[in-house]
Amino acid sequence: MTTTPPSLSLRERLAALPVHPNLARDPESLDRARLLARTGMVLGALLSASCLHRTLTDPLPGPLLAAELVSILMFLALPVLVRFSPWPWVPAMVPVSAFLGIPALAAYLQGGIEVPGLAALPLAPVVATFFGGPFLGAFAGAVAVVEVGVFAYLDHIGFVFPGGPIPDIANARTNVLLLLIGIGWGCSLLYERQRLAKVAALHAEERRTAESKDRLISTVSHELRSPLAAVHGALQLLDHNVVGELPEEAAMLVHIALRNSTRLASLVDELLHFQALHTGALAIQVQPVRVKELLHELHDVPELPQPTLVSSAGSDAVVVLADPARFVAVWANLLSNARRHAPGSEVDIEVTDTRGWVRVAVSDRGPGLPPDVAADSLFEPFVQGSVGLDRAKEGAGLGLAIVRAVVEGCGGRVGAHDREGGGAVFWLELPEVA
Amino acid sequence: MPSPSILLVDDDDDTRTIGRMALARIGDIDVRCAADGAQAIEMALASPPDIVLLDVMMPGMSGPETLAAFREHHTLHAVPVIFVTATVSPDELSSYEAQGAAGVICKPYDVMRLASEVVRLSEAWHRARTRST
Repeated sequence: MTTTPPSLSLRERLAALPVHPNLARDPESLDRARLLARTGMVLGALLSASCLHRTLTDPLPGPLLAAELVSILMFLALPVLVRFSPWPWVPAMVPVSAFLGIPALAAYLQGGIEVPGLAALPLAPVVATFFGGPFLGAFAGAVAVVEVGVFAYLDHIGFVFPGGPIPDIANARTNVLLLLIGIGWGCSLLYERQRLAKVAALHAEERRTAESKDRLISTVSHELRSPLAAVHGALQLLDHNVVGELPEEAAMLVHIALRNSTRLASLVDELLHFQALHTGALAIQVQPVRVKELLHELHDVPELPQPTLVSSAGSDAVVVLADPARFVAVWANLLSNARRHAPGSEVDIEVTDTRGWVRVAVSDRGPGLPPDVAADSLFEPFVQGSVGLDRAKEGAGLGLAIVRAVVEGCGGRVGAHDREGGGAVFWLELPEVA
Repeated sequence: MPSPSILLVDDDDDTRTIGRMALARIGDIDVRCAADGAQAIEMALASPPDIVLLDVMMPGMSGPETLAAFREHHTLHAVPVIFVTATVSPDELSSYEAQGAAGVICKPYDVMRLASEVVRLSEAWHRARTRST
């Protein structure tokens, strides 16, 4: 069976070409580079028309014609050069070589050359300003005025250039202006590419820092788990009287040590879990799932009081996009957050369906959100209610960050606010499947 | 079924002590210990165990390398090997099973349930082998 290849326009084919990594990282620069390249193509087309016209009427010497043709080809290939070239000076050289080198040589040999001709004259200062900036535009204007004066004076005294008669003033001015445009344009491309290289270097540096932080967390947590396993195991054996009954006080001390080693283990787990979500090692795979089934995972949350479930008009039958396997951690963290900050309070979960989103809100009757921290920042890693030295509320401050990582990974959003009548509400919204 | 014999391989003395006590005292299992992969192979060749409990990260021969060496000996290739690791990455965990491990137990584990978990994983592995042959 044969398949018909999809017919693509030239623009689509160009857009489908691979992009140099530096450009790919910065879409704004890519757009500007594309704009420069496209105008380059237009000017290339103008140049080729003028070259063709000249060749038909007054043929150029062979080597010069070849140079002109190479220059035109480079202009036409500019979109590709801008995208591919790993060296910023390659695309920048195109306008410089075309405007600076070849017309200057041609002007010297021929005593003036009609580069895109008079038609380009009114455009020249505008284009110079656009590509080279207002400074270059003004500079180009000033040079043009001086140049016209110099040529008028040379013409007045009857000066003869070694290569031939004084070129036509209008053409000469066009050439100089185009030279300036070329320089401005080249500088602009060069600047853009250099800026891009800096942005890329900065990104690489940020990535390296983030990677080394992730590696540190991973290594430390990993190295903590092995000795922790030994401590925890030894205490468990003692606590369960595997090696004989302990005196009452010793048993109490062992029990305290065991409880704290359990807490330490869960902190390390939390840290590793968050790091795995953060680095993508723990992938989130969304699937259509009923809210009711998602809430089933609540039963897998160990050692926490089960909340009261409230659902408005069958909202929990709605299908949303989520990763059920990761939701055990979401419920566990939301419930343990409520338990820690509102000990002994009733906790309820309310499900509501609003405009394409299903909201699940966990509310408690505790002291409410901390006044010193913005609600959003509670979902940031390592932020806890009371900033400072008060570590009474156990936890690494990663529970809500894990909630946010999972929910946002499923395309949802999270938030928190005070509950009317006292307490706090932590909510999450998941996209409904149409 | 009589209680199985287990070869516990871990480079850390303390972890070996805890593991041996948990298996012997709670699971009433005959436990022998090895401090590295080479010693484990030597001991297993002298007297093949019913189950091998193998630490993943060890100096010299790592857990996966030791497992590969076990699979090369015809007297040992049918011994279920269970990895013990402090890693939690799901990719790594599934890769151990793909290498032929009978299961993976993550540190820190519940010592009170270690013996029953090891026996359960080994029985499941034997059942899966019987079905596939």
